[in-house]
Amino acid sequence: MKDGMFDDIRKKLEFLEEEAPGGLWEGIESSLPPAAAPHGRKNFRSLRWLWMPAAAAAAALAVFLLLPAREETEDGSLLAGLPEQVAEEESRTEDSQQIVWEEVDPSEVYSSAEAGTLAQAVPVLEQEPAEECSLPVPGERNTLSLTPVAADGKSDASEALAVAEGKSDASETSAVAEGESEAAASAVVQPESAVSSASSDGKPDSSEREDDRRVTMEIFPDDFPDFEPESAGKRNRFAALRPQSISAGASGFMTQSRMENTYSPVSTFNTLNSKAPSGDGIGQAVPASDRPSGEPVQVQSYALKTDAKHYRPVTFSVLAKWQFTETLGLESGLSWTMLSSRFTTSSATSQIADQQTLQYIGIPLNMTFSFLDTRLFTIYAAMGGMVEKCVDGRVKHSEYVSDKLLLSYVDKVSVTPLQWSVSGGAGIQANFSDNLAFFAEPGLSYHFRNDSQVGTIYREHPLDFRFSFGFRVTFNR
Amino acid sequence: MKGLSADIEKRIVDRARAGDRAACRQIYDWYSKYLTAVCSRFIQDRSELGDVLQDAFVRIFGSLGGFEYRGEGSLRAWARQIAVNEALKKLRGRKKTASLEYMPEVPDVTEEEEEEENVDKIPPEVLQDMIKALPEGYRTIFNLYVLEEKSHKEIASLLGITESTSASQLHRARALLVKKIKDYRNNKIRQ
Repeated sequence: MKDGMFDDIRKKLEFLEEEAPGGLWEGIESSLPPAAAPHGRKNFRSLRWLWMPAAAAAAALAVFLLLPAREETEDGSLLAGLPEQVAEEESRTEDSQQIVWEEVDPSEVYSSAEAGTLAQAVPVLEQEPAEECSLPVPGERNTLSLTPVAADGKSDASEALAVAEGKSDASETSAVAEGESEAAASAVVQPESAVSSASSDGKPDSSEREDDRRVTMEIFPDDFPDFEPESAGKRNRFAALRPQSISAGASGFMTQSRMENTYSPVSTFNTLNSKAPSGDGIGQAVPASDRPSGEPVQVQSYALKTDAKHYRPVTFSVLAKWQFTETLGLESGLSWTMLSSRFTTSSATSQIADQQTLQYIGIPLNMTFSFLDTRLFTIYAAMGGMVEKCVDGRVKHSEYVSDKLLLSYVDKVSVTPLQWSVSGGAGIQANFSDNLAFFAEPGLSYHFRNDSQVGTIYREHPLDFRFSFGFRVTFNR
Repeated sequence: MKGLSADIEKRIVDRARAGDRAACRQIYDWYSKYLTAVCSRFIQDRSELGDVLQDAFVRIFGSLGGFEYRGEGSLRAWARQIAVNEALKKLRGRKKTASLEYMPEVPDVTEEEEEEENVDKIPPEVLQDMIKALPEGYRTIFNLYVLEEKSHKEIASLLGITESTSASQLHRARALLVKKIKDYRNNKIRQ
């Protein structure tokens, strides 16, 4: 049985409130389990651990790029003392292909009797090896014998450079000869045969050349690519990787955006029972005089306003440049970018504010082209791209009701997809010295859309104008 | 509390569910007075009322994991249900008396007292005091039937009585309340 009095009593007491007993919260709090860490911090792992390997990688890269080239020795030879070193290494390893160059008495190998002939070493490898040529035997000493070449550049058959095993037995020696003359073929490392050959061509007597033309040839293995010591090869490759300059600078983008939207949900009420929502709603019923009776009326209620503000991104970078030619170069390194945004949703009495901060680590890759390079100024163009990874994302969430802060906590934002971008610009560099310069580089950049749903200025304004500036240290200018 | 964005309420519930003490305090601030008014209709003694409310809030915060937020008002209704259960638990824990079955001091209801009284001009606080002044048995059944909208069958199950007892006790409670309303109105007129 429906009781009107009961219904009235229920409606009157529905929202009635009374003062709570004193000390109630303290009693409740003492009964609750220990408080959890403020939201956002318990499950939020500090990403500081990521900074350490990143910083270590950046430091290692900087050390690698800044290491000076190996200096030459005082006598200008990088390989001073090589023969002795080679001899030692040869005895150490079976795989050693070191060739020991011995001093050979020119009188034993001269094939020309003309005075003034010069002994000229002829690289073995530039000649087609004879069929009987045998490779140096690892671990065994090999000798190189030289034959002089006439001043007119012509040489007789004996000018050939023979590589032979360092054995006393002539039958075991082999020779590499230029041309196919018998004289060349006979110009092997057999002192006796060489002398005889030389004598037959009318060359000066070996005895006359013995004192004057004793030539001690020291062939630096560097002249023979195949005989380069392994360590020297490594040094060359290392030097090739060293960049010509290191630059450090900052970039800022020109655009910051702000978007405001107002969302007004609409409720429909029947006119006969039409009543504006109570409480702090902003809705106002359309006056009955302005509408025909019996028709539904729409009432606005609880309009929501959203505001998204994206601040200008800031980037710091350390770049190394490798110069391929005088004008063309390649630049790469590491960059750090910070994106800040603020999102606000507000109604008549409440407001929710989210302050979002994202940090990216990126690897740029740019081609540079120098138009003008003078002592004082350098003008260049650069274009390339960059891939960035969000390494840290946070949002500070605040909730207000009637301008009173109700709740505030920090939460984590995860941006998984990589951020790709391309950029181009022109730069001008003021050269303070041969090694130090200041550069300014305005340009454009375009950030490609990725699968991330996190709102950033990259999504709102993918094409943006940027300005970079900084210092550049140049080596070997 | 009325008009609070459901969004904010849901977020605070989520935070409280995760153990955020500040969020729990916020829920307490929102509903402590409301639940005090609800429970004071069942429990007269102030210290007992404090115990009931404390147990109710501890149970509320501990049961948030099983609570599904369904819009504005759902948390209030769910918290109220827990508070009423705690009040009934306190009542059931007391020594049972025969007052629920029989109250010889209460006169039988007359036809006049079966009339309905208009309560529009009676302040809610006065009505609340009138309900609190009812005998415990009548008051409990009245609260469960009128304010918690339970059926006699549910009341019988909750209190361990028969449905007919629940109905008769409600009838008597109503009669007493009508009398009090008349007395209040007559006193008002004299003033």
